[in-house]
Formats: sequence, structure tokens, C-alpha cells
Amino acid sequence: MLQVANLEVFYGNIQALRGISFDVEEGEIVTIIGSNGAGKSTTLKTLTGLLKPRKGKITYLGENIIRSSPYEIVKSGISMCPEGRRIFSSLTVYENLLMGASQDRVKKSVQNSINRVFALFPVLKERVHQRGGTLSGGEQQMLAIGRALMSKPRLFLLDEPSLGLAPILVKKIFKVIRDLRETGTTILLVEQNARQALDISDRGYVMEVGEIVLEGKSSEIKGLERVEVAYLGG
Amino acid sequence: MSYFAYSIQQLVNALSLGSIYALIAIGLSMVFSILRLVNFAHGDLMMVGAYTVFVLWQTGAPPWVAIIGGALASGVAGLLMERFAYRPLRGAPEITTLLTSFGVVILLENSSILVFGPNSRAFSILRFSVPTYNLQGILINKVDVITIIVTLGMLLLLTIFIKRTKIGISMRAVADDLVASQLVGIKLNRVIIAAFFIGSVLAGIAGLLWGSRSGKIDPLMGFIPVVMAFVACVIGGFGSIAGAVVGGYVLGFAQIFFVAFLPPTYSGFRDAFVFVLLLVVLVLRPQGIVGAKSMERRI
Repeated sequence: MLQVANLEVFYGNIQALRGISFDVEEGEIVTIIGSNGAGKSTTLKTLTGLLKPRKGKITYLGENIIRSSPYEIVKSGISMCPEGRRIFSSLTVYENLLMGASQDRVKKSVQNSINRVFALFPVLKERVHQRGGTLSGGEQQMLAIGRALMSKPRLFLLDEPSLGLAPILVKKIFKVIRDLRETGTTILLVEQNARQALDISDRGYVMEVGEIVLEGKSSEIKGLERVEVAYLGG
Repeated sequence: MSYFAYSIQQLVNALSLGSIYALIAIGLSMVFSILRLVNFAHGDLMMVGAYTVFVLWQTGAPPWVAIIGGALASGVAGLLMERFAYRPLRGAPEITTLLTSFGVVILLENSSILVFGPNSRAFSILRFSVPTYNLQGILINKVDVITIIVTLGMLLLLTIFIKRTKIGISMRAVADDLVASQLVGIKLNRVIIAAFFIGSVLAGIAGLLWGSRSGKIDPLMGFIPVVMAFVACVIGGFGSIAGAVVGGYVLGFAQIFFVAFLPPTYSGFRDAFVFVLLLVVLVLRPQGIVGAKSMERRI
């Protein structure tokens, strides 16, 4: 579904991605783990068109999307739940979700999509007319995921969805991610919370300072001593 | 004249002046909230609107045609400004776009001087046969009443637009978080165009009202009002429409009341008092009266 080849991204003169390659097959949950500053978020920002790579190729459903704008990328069925949630804090929960369906393709099914989000996260329904900025951290994360789902993505990118959440909420969010895969959405999950990310994913990539240093089945990666020491708290 | 009558007259006067500042400040603030651009050429859109009304009326068009034509001409001028001056600089540092806006000011004001000459023209389209109402000794200028009513009408329409329409909600979303709005697939250009057009139409209407208030128009008529609207935005909270409106009225009241109720020897220092007010607001409440969010939120 998605093939990334030799991707190089720079911030000014600083190279953030040093020629990374990976792929995601339809129906998979793939995770990219690694410590802070490894380039995980940069990778996702490049996939969504927010950053332009200097070199490399991103092929999605057989098409090179390297020059596509964020708008075109959302339109083609890739949606991202960004790091730090970035919900619209002065808009209500309902308006936030409505904005998630800005895409022409999904305009007719807005109400259905909203109901689907409410089914996943009932608490959002209770808060429907509340401003996004007044929600708790966990509710904001649910809203961010819900908003990203409004465009009915085929490929769903999640950037650190567990960051700063209580363990019980992390569990809930990860369950939702698994459920989404059951309904046919392909998922690329970036996480520092490596253990849980590897638990729910099929395959994983480990990043260190702009490079992919390891790849494999998640169950295998979990067993490796080097990963255990570095990312799973030994 | 009784002190009471005098106070009422000054109240109406302040409401009217504040209304015009609010109309201008809204456009300035809307564009800023989306692009982080302080468009000083916004004041010249008043001039474009007022001169269009003037020309149409001189050529014998009915007043309502002239007025609507003027508002639309400002709207179109605002769109051209966006397309040719600011869009090529999308993503450039704020100082670059700020300087560009001064370039646009010079271009528009001098073009206007070339076409219409540097002198003021009498502007009387809203000065109907009876210029004032006389309510038991209280004299109220008709232009002021029209200004206040038109502004309230525009504020109502704008509120409905911002709260209820998809593009209005998108506009607030972009102002909240530019990156997130791109991620959900909001068409940024559409939002920017809408903001420029609406702000420019309001500026055109403000130009008509400003010209009617003073009874004359000239090519540089937009300069003082846009500086005042800028001050209004800072007082109210830059980037917030409510802030622009509140700031506009606070400024209008301050200016009128400094002149009306201070001893005559001080009234010449009106603008000095206004800027002292600005400094006080900046010290006590740097985010403005309405503004709650940090200005750095998008960086």
C-alpha cells in the first residue's frame, strides 16, 4: 500500500532522515519505535506533505506522492492524528469533527462519520457542544483521533497517541486502534511507548538518529535483547 | 444646551466613530489571525470604496447602486491585493509581508493621487436633505445613526457567517492551528480569499461612512483610520474578531471623551491620550481585552 524508499529530509542544514526505507501493506498495523529525536515524527510529517523531502520516493497505491500537498494527500485517503493532538481549541467538539470532514469526498456522510466517532468514544457525545480547549488531555486525544477518522482514511497515521495519558486511557486508545484495523483501516503507528506498540502491531521498525536500524515482526523485535534494554525498560 | 443633551450627543458621536474603527479593525484582525500579516494597505481599501461610490454617484447612478458598487470594488481590490502582493510571499517572514503592505500603501495612494488629484473632494452621498434629528434639543447627526445601524447589521451578519457556515468555521480553525487545518484538508486558499473579501468589503463600507462623517474624501484618507484600527486590534486582542470590535469601540469612546470632557487646553493632545491608553493596555493586559491565547501559539 505504502512504500517509502531512501527518504532524506532536512531542517535547514540539519539532516533529520538519512535515507530511510520501509513499507506498509494493506490491513497491517505497522509501528515505528525509537527514542525522542530519532526522526519518527519527521517521517510522518513528510508522509502527510507537511515537510518536503530532499531525496527519496513515497509511493502510495502505486502513485508517487512526493510532490503532493497536504490537501491532496488527505484526499487520497491518508489521514494523520498529529503529535500533541492539535485539536482546534476554540471550536466545539462538533465543529472539530466537522472540520475533519473538510474533504469533498466525505461531505455526504458527515453525520454517519460523527455517529461512528461517538460510538468509539461516547464521552465525546456528552461534550459535543463544549470547546475543544476545555476537554481533558485524554478527551482531546480521542477528539484528535475522531477528527482524523472523519476523512475516512484508508491509511491512518498516528503520532504518539499515548503521550501524556494515564495507563487506563492508553489501553483504551490502543484497543480503538486494534478495532480500527478490524474495520479495514491500515495503520502506521509511531510510538515511544514501545512495549504496547509492539503488542498490537504486526511489524515494527526501530529508528535511531534518522535511520532505521532494525525491522521485523513485532513479536520478534520484542524478544531482542538490544531492544529490550534500549526501549522496553530491560 | 444642557449638559445632558451634550453628553447624549457625544455618546452617539463616540458610538459612530467606534463603529467605523470596528469595521476596519475586523478585516485587519481576520487577515492577521490566518496569515500573521498586518496589512497596512487595508486602510486604502476604504479609499477605493469611497472613490468608487463617489465616481458612480457623480455619473448619475442611484445611491444604492453606488454604495453596493463601492463595497464590491473594495472587496475586489482586496482580492487582487491578496493574489498579487501577498500570495507570492506565502511563508515569508512576517517582516517581509509587513514591508510589502507598506509598498502596497504607496502604490495605491499614489495611483489615487494620479487619477483623482491630491485634493479633497466633497462627499455628500449620505447627507440627505436634513442632516440632523432634533430630539427636544438633542441634535443627532443622521450619518451617525446610519453608521451605527449599518455597523450593527454587519456585525450580526458576520457573526452568523463565522458561527454557522462551514467556511466561517474553517476560518476559525485555521486561526486556531494552521498545521492541523492543513492536515484535515481545509482548502487554505479558499479561507484566505474569504477573509480578504469580507474584510475588504467591510473596509469599503467603512470608507463610505468615514467620508460621509467628514463630508470629504481624499487619496490619503485611509492612513489615520488604519493606524487607529491597528491600535484598536492591539487594545482588543489581535487576531480576535470580538477583540477588534471591542477595541474599536473602546478607542472611539476614548477619542471622543478625551475631547469632549477634558478642558479645552488638553483636547489637542487627544491622540497622545489614546496612545497612553494603548500603553496602559499593553502593560496591564498585553494579550488585549478579549485575547486570551498566547500570540506564540502557532510557532
